[in-house]
Amino acid sequence: MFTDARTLPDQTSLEADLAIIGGGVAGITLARALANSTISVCVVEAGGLEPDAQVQSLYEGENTGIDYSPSATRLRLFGGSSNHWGGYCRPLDAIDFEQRDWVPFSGWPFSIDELTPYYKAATEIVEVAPGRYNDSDYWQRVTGEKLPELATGRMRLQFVQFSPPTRFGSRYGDELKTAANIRILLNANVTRISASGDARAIKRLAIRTLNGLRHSVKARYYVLATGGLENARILLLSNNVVQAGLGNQNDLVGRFFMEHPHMGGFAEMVVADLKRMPKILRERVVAEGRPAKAAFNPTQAFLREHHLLNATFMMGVVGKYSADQLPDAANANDTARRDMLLAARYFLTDNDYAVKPGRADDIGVWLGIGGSCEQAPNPDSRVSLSTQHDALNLPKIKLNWRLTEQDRLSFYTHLHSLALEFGALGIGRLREMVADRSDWPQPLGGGSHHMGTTRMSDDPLHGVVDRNCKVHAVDKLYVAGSSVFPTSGASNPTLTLVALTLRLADHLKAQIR
Amino acid sequence: MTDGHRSLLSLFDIRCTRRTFLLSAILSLTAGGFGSNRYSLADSGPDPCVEPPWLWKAIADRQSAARLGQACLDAHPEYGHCHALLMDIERTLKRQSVSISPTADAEQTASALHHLLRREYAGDEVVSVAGWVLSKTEARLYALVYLVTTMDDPFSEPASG
Repeated sequence: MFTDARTLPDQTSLEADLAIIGGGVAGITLARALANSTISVCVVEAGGLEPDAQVQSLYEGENTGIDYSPSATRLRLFGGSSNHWGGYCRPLDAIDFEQRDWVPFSGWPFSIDELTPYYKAATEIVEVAPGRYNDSDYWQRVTGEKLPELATGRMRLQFVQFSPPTRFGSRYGDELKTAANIRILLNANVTRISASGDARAIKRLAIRTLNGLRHSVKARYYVLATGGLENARILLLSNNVVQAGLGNQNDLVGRFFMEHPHMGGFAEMVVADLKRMPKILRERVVAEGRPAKAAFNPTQAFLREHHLLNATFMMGVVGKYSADQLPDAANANDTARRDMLLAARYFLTDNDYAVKPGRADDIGVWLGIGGSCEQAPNPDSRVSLSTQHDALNLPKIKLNWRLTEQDRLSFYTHLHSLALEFGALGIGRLREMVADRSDWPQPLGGGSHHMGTTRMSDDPLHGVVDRNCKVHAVDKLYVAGSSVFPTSGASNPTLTLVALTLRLADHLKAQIR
Repeated sequence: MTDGHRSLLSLFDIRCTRRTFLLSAILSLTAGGFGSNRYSLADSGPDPCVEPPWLWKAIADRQSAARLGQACLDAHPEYGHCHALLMDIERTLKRQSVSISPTADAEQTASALHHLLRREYAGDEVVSVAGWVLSKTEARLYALVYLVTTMDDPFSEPASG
């Protein structure tokens, strides 16, 4: 059942076994996992069923670090940020879960094995099943193109699978609407999680609407699932008992904010003969109804040997060069690419390598390279509360996203590996476009991936939540979503956060019974 | 002509044509005072750029390669000697156990270079040239093309590759 909180009588108090704050990917996944059970569920969603500028403006915030928009990188409506999700799916790598000596604050409380069965189920939910994320044989077979055997030991091929993308609100809304045990409260902004005097128990959720109403939801269990920025904000706003904010006794809430730094224009590749570069390496390929594209990732052995962070590179054809086309002498990049393609033609094409004019790409093509990388957990990269206030008179978030030299050097090392790999394969030549490696390539942005602000650790001194995603020192309050990631890996987070939420659902089912 | 140079001529079976002989002789006599390129005029004395026959098999487009070669020399002035470049290429081929018999033809040598380049990329034996990540031997080849192209003009023969 959907209920618009703006239409309820003022001061309405609702009750449920479980209150889920947030109707985005995590909240909907959790609600679905409990649908038609004996557990009554109230999903408290701040937005409505459609985008609304006034509602969305509640996501605006102050930014003091790397240029970043707290509002444009998330959506405040039912279905959450899945409404602008790109659909990239790939699990984290096994090494991402490990405590790595060279990555400060690394290590999940469990290994990838703990998540493996949930990844399988998550793959169904995001509609890419069965997952073939590292199955080169499969993609080779279904595409009919032999994939290169990488030669340097530095990189490996993985496969990103693309969700339609699943818009969780429209895809699963009806299912939740008809579930007898689920109520979805729309346009209901949780302004505080009210705790008992000793801050060990939650009394209720304080809710306000933009038309001035105040409601509350009382539950036996609570799950905070509002995304990596808002999860921290709501805990920090819930400071009626603990001044630093709920669950923030150790000053960890909001710290360790992580993104996947995304860069463009930092390098390009030229390829003279596309027959040497299977299509799945350069564009999305649909096989058996499943779109996928190859990604280049560092091998785990290389990461260990050189003490590096993880990364992902993908590429696509941007331009073609033909012998019939006059070189653009005024364009230095064009000249450079043509020169490289023609000079190295013997090494980059098969036996009969003379240019035979007639095709738009008879000389070759150039490819843009997209890269994203893991950033090391950094306590100074953080979300806190601003002195500015939103339309509900609540402090906005203040975001200070920071990266380290370790992050940058890792990225450049992997970029170099990519150049070596394509050279060793005889496929292409890579040109770095960054003049000064002491800085990040520009433009530098994120992937709208908000992670780490309520990080998971068995030790309350190092984590906001425990291995079950329960807030340390607060009973029956849990956090769902990528804010619990202790490290980010280099995979898009949606698949992993769905898997983690399914795991949380199993835990809650056992607890609530 | 040094022993090293003779060895290279033998290795790559360079045919000493009338024009290359003439060019070598002139360059030897003028001790670097002839020719337009600025990199061959080294302290070590004359450095005649006699083109090995495999060069135009491995390099399809001499103008493009020469432009890259110029960038190679800007970034790595130590590549400014034809003789040294050829010696380096020979040494590298031998060190990598790439087989080139003294009677190898241009095609065989170019093919051996192809494999050498791939090995160098795999082994991170690369240099940066105007942003391009190039295997060391590949960069030497382009530098060689630049030197040969700028020095043998106007005597150059049409590209055979």
